[in-house]
Amino acid sequence: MSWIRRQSPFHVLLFVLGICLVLFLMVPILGTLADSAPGLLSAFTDYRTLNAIFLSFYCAFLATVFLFVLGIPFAYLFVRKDFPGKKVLDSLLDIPLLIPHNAAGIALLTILGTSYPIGAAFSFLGIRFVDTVWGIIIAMAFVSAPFMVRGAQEAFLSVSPEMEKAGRSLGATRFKVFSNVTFPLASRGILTGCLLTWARSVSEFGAVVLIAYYPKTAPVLLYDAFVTGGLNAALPIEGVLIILSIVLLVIFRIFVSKPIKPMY
Amino acid sequence: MGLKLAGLSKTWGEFQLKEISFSVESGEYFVILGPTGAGKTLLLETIMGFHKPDKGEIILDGENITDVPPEKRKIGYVPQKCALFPHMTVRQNIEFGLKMQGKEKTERNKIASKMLDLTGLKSLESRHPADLSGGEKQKVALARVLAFQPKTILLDEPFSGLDPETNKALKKELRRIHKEGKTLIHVTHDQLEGFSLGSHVAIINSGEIVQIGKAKEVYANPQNDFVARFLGYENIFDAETTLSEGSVSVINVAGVTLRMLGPIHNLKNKITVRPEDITVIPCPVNNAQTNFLKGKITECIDQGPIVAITVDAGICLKVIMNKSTFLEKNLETSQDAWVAIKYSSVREITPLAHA
Repeated sequence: MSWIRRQSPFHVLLFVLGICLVLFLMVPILGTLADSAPGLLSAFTDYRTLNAIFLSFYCAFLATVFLFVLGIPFAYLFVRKDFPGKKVLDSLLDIPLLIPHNAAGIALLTILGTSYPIGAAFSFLGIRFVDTVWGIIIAMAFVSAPFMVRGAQEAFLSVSPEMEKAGRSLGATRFKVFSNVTFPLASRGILTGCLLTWARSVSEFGAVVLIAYYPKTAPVLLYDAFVTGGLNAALPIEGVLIILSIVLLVIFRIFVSKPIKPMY
Repeated sequence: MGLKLAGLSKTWGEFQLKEISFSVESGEYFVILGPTGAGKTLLLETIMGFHKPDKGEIILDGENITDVPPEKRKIGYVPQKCALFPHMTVRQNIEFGLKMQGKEKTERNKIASKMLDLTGLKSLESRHPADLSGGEKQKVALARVLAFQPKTILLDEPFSGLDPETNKALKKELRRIHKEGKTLIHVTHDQLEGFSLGSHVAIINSGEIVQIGKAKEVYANPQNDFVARFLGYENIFDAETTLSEGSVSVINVAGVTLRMLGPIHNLKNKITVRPEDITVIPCPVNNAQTNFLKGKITECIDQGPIVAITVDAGICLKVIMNKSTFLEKNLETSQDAWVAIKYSSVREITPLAHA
């Protein structure tokens, strides 16, 4: 109490509002965990549930890797270079955040379905998207892309161009400056972007369910259980999903908080 | 040999470097002096190769390096805020350039140790830049560049934000580096810093070199209003020559007669007197080759060790005086006083064409 008395009314107000937000987020989660407790043990040993959760984590990881490869160079280009149409392109990047995710799923279906040219071309190469892991990864990547690109943009913005200039003046090529100076300095922000991308991908339902109802990811399995078996069937699955997500998030956070060492 | 810029032009947004041409001899300490926004950093970065010039050439030791990428120019560069790599220790920062050159670890270690000893940074080698003071950071930035062994080093405002003691130590360090035979090109907005270090000075304004030459000559003979004002010549007046008496010219400045040495180049021109070249005295003394003007002190501003005095003597003269002299003479505002200006202290602002 003495700590609160020492604070200004403004900070007390901020503190109260913050507590409200934490309660708003935590009460439903803790409530669900409490409700799911009786069935948790069986859910933890149910292979369908574990498969679906593993599939979600695995596909989200691959979607994150996919976005890392495409998104990091693009984010760097955005931060360091001016080019015609940059602002338009910048706005387009946020489209996945604006459109409903089931609309995103339909959009992907109309591109990647085997009866459409691009889907047919991939199908010819042996890659099908409808009801496959590929479809899940693409749907996750589509809706999560802004998290990766925006996170990396912020991270690169925090690295002064002066450091890159200093690096080049010391004999490093652009690539070496990027790998030895820019990337290590931006890596914490980029890792946070990866983490958000992965987390967003794991939770994706709307786009995934339209392009790949099977194999079932955790959100699809949860929906399926809720529709077919009601709340009692869905709660244990949700409990397991929440517990595993929290454990993984904590591990990632610890990993991200470690100091970054130079690459060489 | 050395560095030569020939008609270098670069447009950057709405700003333009205009036809910059000068030569810096090998082993010279060259200072580019100009106010904020004059284009100093853009010029330095263009020399370094971070911006491709629209026109003109950069020749280093006889080789045209205009299209050579920065990493291959072998020019040392110390950016304005040092730009040390925060994720590396002091030693790793110093070794960076050597690593990029592909030097073996043992050689890197040897050179870095030598640089650490030379700059007195040995005890700080395992620290990160965040744990260093401003002066230590500047020393590391210099050591990092020196380890790279460039012949020419570009310094962008290396003294900005340093306290006077660190400033003094860094000046000593730069003089030592210069004595080793390095060519230093140093940009700054601080004329005291520039003239205390540079053997040659270029004054830049709005992307243009407005005067260039030996430091002493530039300081003594500003060639236009801007340079005069920038170098602290506060008393600048339109003058008209009325008579030439041998080596002395008699000039009229707004109705006040002044004498100065040497024939002036134009009958109507601008003349200037540095505030520290004017003395305020209670009455004229028998002193040859000195102008004496009677006036009234209109303002005295205490500036720590010095006092800035304004005297209305028909023309408004700014005078700078030591605080102790000011106190000894017991001067104050509204007091009648005489000002003494040596003939040699009255200088014509010579336009470039007559230089």
